[in-house]
Amino acid sequence: MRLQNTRHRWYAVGNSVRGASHIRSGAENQDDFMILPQEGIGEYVVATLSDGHGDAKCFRSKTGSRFAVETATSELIKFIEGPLQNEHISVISREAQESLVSRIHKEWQNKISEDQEKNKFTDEEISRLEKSKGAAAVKAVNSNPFLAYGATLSAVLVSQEYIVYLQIGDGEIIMVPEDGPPERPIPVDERLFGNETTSLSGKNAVGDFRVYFQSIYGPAPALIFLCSDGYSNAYQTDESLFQAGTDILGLVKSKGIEVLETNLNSWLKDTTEKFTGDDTTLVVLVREDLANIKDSDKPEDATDEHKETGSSSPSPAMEHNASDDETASKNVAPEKVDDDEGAVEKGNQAGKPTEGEKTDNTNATEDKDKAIETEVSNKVIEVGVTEEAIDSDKADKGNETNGDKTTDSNPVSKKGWFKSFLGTVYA
Amino acid sequence: MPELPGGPMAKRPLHFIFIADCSGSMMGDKIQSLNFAIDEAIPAMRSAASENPNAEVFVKALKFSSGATWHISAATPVESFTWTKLEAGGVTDMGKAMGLLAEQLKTPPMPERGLPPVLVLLSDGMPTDDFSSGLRQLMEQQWAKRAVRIAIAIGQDANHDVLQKFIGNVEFKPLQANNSPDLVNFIRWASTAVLKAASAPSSKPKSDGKGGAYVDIPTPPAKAENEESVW
Repeated sequence: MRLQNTRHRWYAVGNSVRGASHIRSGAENQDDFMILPQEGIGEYVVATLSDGHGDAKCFRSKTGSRFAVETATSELIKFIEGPLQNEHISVISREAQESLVSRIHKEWQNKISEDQEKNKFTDEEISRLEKSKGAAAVKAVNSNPFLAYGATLSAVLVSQEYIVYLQIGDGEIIMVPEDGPPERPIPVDERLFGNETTSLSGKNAVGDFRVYFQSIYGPAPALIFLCSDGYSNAYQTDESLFQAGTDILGLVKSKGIEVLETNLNSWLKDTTEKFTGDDTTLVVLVREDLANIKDSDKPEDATDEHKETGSSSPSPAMEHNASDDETASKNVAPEKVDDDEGAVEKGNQAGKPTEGEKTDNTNATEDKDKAIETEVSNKVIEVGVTEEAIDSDKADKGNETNGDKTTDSNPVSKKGWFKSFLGTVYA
Repeated sequence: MPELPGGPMAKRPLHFIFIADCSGSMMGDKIQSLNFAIDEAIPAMRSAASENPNAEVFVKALKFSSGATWHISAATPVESFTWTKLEAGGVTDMGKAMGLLAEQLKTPPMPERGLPPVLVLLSDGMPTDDFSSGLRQLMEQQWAKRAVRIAIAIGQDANHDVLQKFIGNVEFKPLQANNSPDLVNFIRWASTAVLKAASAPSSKPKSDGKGGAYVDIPTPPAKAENEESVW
């Protein structure tokens, strides 16, 4: 059984600024982030953020944070687009909480192992570490090379029916409900204090992850933001930090998503220069229906077969932080799909779906699959995946529409498609 | 441009606290040297603090002899911090000092967010009260656990065991000051090099380190050469 929710699209905007203290010391921006609402693909959003550790032993943490956002984004996209999408919500929830994190961590380690194969620690890196931290530090890194790539990770996957939040290390994820005060979906980790943090490089990293699976009953959250501690440490209290979520939502409601595109970079620069001095990253996800959108600015409906793919060029939405200084704010307008009207439960059991709505759901599922098929085709064309992969994808979608519960019969094509997509972006 | 969203923002606060033994045995040269050393370190302390404009350093001081009280109770910005001389007399209620310190390391008055505090304990003798109980009370506070804890032994009668317990990390020993130049050098080092390290700590993977391991404490200065050990 699938939940009946009002369908929403999500904007996603992010920015990252090199820390003022790093500019003074010559250190690079060790934060990274990635946003994946994909141009031409609608109603789910992935946002990931990672903060590479500044400790001398973590001399490749910039690479570590990049690998973290890449692998988390990749695994979350596989999660939402894979065979699970037709499973019961309880199955999806269990999968999110039991195995998703392990896959992310394993893939992060795999990327590091590959990097080590191609780029072993240089003599310069090792001698610099020995000079600053001594032989014991060198020994620690040689026995656990992941330590050199140490980083945190915060990630959010927003879909129509559920939201997955996951986090290891410092930084914040704050959720602003449509009607209610902001809150932390994942409570404060009492183990984190001062400048110490749990880490992807930790021996118990998988166990140190915290995951929250939120089934969406009723109104979806209005806004979610992720930030590195270079941003959150500027606020003296939790209330001050939470107020940022409320204020940003208010600005977007009154002035549109453009207010973030225009101001995010300068806000982050001010934050690091005047307050924390640290690398500062903020990613904001906002429900499109709450943003003040002028009619002339509304993105076109991708399900209209006469329309071009996507509303703007794809690469700005996909690129993660690529420079030491700053990146442009990214505004993504996921495409509209047909609304699936239906009452939605929220906690107190109000508004249970009726039989009529359940029937509508079946039709809506077919419409949704058709829309996704159209969107996938459009997106595939965008990135130049082979026809074989397209045909294979369509065949799989056909099976699923007919109620065939078999798993993806050609997983290679889907993986190949996704890797090609990423490859295009990062080439 | 809309102003920065959210509530009040601030630089990251760093609380630097002297905990000074003013017992009767400190009378004379020791207390005079202590007063001189702290007063003399202030300009260098301000200079060290200014090297990280994103940290805001606040200084306080606690004294103990017969009982314990705050000598400078208000968290004073380092730019305006001045030293008021200590007088010596009484016993050595170091345990009460730990308890008093614990109260001030709770949140509030400590902020929810901030840099690791620096706690500098200076003593020439043996506690005359229940030091263990006071220390236990102190180490129940999160800010105490994450603080950089330094101890300076003034003279050869200082109890290194209790000072080591305060430090809480076998990698760092109490500094032994047997004359005025050593005391001056050690207090200057704590007020500058340690302050700088605490004001710009690098994020690091969580470890099981205790006391000071969260911040890379720089190597202390060597003892003054050709100086007699008079204490």
